[in-house]
Amino acid sequence: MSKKNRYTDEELIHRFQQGDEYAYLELVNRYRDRLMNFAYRFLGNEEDAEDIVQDTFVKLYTHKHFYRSIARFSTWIYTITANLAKTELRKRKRRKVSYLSQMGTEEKDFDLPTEDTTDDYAEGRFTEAQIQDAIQKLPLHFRTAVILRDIQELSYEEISNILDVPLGTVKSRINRARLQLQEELKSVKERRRTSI
Amino acid sequence: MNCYEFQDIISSYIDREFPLAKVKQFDRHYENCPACHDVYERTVSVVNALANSDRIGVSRGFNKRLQARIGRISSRRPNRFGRYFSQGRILGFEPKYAVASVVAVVLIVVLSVGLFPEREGVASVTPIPLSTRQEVPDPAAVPGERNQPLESSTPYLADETKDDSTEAGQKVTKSVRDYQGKIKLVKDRQ
Repeated sequence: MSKKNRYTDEELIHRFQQGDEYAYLELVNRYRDRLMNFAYRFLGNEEDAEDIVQDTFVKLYTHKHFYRSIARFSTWIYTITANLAKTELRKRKRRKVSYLSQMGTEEKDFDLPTEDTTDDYAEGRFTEAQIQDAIQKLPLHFRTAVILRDIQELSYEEISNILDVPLGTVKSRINRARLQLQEELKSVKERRRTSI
Repeated sequence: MNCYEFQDIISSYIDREFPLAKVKQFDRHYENCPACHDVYERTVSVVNALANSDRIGVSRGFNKRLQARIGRISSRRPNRFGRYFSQGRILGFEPKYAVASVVAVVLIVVLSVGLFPEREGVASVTPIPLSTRQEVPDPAAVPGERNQPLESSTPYLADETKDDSTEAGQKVTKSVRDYQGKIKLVKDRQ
């Protein structure tokens, strides 16, 4: 174990607030992949997700004094990423509206085939693409809750702090998100069955 | 337990955030209701699928790109007022809305000054013409007036309710009135 790993996240951010740039680098190394995974699941696009993670760390650098030790560092940094990702989605929505208005009548949408195999289907497994598609269909607040719980494996309490909603609301959102996901994946299977 | 109640607490059951008192009811419903049984099984498989899904990491050179970006930010001269006019916005508003707000505020101020005349009881800032002013004798012009001994000012503090039927009482009342009059004049002059 390296010397740096002995520090908790909160100690590292404290050291960074005192001017220790190595502490910042250590925080980046600890969180970059976790945040990337979260942002990717949220946005469904690697490039955008990486931009969001970069923005998060830039914000951490420029707003380091905004962190107060009353909250866990992980909660704080996830909140920043979640907010940035939501803003990105809002921007995308606006862009989508303007693209649609520019689209001609001859243009059509094409569904790209998913990469699942019949073996996977027979074993009851879901492919990455199916999972990602199903996640993208969830409403925003359900999506955030279920990603934080089932992919990032955070506790209900941490999620409650990140989303700034009561614990009961978190439980209900996670439950409804999972039920919606299982419905979505069930219908994916049914569609596949009819096409085979 | 009915199907709605069952499906409401599936996640709590999976995550072991479930009251023990309800476990038996949950298990009984699970065994007796095939539809809810299926929903439960599918939900468990979704949770497992999400937990085992691929972990996406940042691409190569992430730290270098980040450091370059931070280097650019650090080298920029700090602008004290930059945050008020960032991203083409003024105090967070789009310029047209910011300008409209300022114009609206100015209009409100101008109209309120024009529409509401000076209220009664509010002191006017216009000086009173000299001709309407009361002539005030200069106390300095009266010899001995200023350097009167302190005892002479005692009547100022005298009780006005004092019986003034006697000669002494009348004298006291008169001097009290005189002093009050002088004080008023000095105040007015100030």
